[in-house]
Amino acid sequence: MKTIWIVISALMVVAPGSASAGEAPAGNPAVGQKMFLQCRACHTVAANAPHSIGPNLNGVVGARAGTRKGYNYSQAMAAAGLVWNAATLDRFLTRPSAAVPGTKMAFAGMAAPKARADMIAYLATLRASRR
Amino acid sequence: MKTFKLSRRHFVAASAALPVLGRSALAQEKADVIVIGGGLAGLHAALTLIELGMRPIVLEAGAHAGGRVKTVVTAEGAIDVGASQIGRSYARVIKACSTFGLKLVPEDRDLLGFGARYMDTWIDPKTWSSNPLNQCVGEERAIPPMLMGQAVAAKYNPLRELDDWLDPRFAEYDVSLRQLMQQKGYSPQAIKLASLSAPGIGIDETSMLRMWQEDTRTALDKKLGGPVAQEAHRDHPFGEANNRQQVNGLAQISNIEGGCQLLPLTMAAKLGDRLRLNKAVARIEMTDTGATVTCSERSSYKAHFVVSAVPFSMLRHVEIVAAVNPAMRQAITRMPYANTARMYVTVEKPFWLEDGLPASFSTDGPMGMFWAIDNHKGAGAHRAMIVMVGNVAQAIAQRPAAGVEQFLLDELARLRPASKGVVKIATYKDWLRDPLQRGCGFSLAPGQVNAFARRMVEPWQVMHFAGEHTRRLDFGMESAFESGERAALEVFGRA
Repeated sequence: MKTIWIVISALMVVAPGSASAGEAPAGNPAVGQKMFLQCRACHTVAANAPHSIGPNLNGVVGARAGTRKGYNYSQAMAAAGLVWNAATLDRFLTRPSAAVPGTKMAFAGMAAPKARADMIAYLATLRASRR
Repeated sequence: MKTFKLSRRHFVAASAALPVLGRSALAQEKADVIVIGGGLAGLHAALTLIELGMRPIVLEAGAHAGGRVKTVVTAEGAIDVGASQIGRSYARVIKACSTFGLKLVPEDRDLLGFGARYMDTWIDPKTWSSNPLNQCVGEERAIPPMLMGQAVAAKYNPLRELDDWLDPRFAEYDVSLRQLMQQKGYSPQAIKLASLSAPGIGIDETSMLRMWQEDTRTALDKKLGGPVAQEAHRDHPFGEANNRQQVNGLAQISNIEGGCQLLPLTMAAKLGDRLRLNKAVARIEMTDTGATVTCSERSSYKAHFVVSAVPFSMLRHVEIVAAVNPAMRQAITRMPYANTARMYVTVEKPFWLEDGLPASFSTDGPMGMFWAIDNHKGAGAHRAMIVMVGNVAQAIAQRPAAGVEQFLLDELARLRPASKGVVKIATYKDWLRDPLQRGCGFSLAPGQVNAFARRMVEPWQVMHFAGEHTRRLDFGMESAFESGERAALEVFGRA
C-alpha cells in the first residue's frame, strides 16, 4: 500500500503538507473513502464497473469532464470543458449546481474544505492498475 | 401511575429525589448517537452511522418501523397507504432495495380518463373552453378547470437548479399561489379554480418556493428517462399513465414487490437491537457536549449526539431543554403539515360503463377526487380510490372518525347513483389522524422559506435534523434517505 500512496501523492496537485493560506488542506484518502458512501448510490469505482445513475469514476482525476464513453451526460457537463483536478473538483464538490449549472448530479455539496480534500484524495486513488 | 404501583408517599419521595423526569433512577443506557424516529430517515441515518463506525440507538414510538411507509394487508391484498412511488432518480432508495434483495416492479396504477364535477355540473375538459360556466379570461379559458392550480404554478417556475428554492436570489417568490396569481392579473374565476387544485396545502397556505422545489426535482426524474421518453397526455393533476419503458432496468415509477414497508422492515431487521420499538420520546435535554433523551415510560438514554428524524409535527410535542434558539423553535412549532386521506375501494362492476360519465373525476366537494384504476381489461372488478389532498384532506380529518367511510360512500353515490352497492371498502387512511405522524408531509407557509427554511437543518447544539422536511434537493422517499445520510455525515464530521 505504501508505494501506492507515494505515487498518488505525486499525482496530486496539492501535496500533503503544502497547505498554506488559500490552498486546500491535505486530504486523507482513508477518510475520503469512508465518506464516499454518500456517492456510491450513483457512482461505481471499480475499473470495469458499468455506469449507474452517474458515471463510473475510475480514473476521474486527470480526466476531461463529460467524456466517459457510454454515459449520457447533461448538456451542461458535456460542454463544461473542465479537466478534473484538485482545484476543479474542489469547486464542483462545494456546490455542483453552482460550478456546472444544469448538471443532473443531485448532490447538495460538501461545505467543509477538509472533507472535500479527503474526498479528492480518495478519488485520486481510483485508478485501474491496467487500463 | 397505576403501573408503577407506588404509594403516594413513595411517589413524593421519589419525585423529590428526581426533580426532573430525565433523572430517572433507572440505569441510563449510553450510545454515541440517539436517533429519534424509525422511519426511512432515522433508519438510514442509523445504518450509515454504524457503517461509519459509530454506535447509534434508534427510538421508535410505534410498534413497527416505517413511519409514513406503510403497507396494509387487506382482503384485496397488500395496499401501500403511504409512500410507495420510486422514480428512476431515487438513487439511494434503489441502491438500498438492491442491497436488501427487494424487487422493484413497475407501478400498476394507470388512471382511467378524468372528468370534473364543478358547480353541480359534469365538465368535459375537452369542451370546457366553450362551457357557459367558464368565466375565465383569455388564455386561462383553455386550461381544464381542475388543472388550473398546477398549470399556473408550472408556468411561472423560475427555478433551474435543485437547490434554487433555497437561494436568496428567489426570496421574492416566498409567496402564496393566490398572491402570485393576483400579481400576474388572473381573473377571479381562475383564482377560484386554482384554489380547488393548488399544489401543497392550498392557495393561501403554501409558499410557491416549496411547490417549485417539488416541480424542479420532478423534472430531473423525467430527464433520466432519456431523450426518447414521451410525456404522457395529462388530463388530471395527479399521476399519469406509468411509462414502463425500461431505463437501467426501471419503469418511470416503480413499487416494491410485496409492499413498500418491506424496505423499512428490512432496515429495522438489519439494526437488530439497535432499534427500540414502543419508545415515545418525551424530553430531550442537551448541552454543547451531550444529551439525555427520556421516553414517556421513563427509560432514559445518554449520548454525545441526537438525530431528530421525526416530523416537526411530532417533535413540537417533545420537551426540549437546550440553549436559546428562537429560529429553530419557530421552525419546529410553526411548520405546517399537509394531509392526504384515501379510501381504497374495489369497484365490483364498473359503474362508469353504466352511467356513461368519466370513470375518474375531480370534484369541488368534500370527497376530492375519485381515481378509477385501469385493470387492463375494461370489464370486471377495478381497484379505485377516493383521494383527498390539500384543504379537502384537512377538512375530512375534522369529521367524526366513525362515520367518515360511510359519508364518502354516500357522497360518491350522490354524485354517481350507479356506484351504489358495487363499491367495497378495502381500507382507509388519514395521515393527519395518525397519532404518530399528524400529517403526510411538510409544507412551508408563505414567508417561511425566508424566515427559517434555509437554516433549519443546522445542528442545535448536539442535535442534528433528518426527515423529509429537512430535504435540500430530493423528494419523496429519496428525500428521507438524503436527509438521514446528511445527518449521519454531519455527526461523523464532529465526532
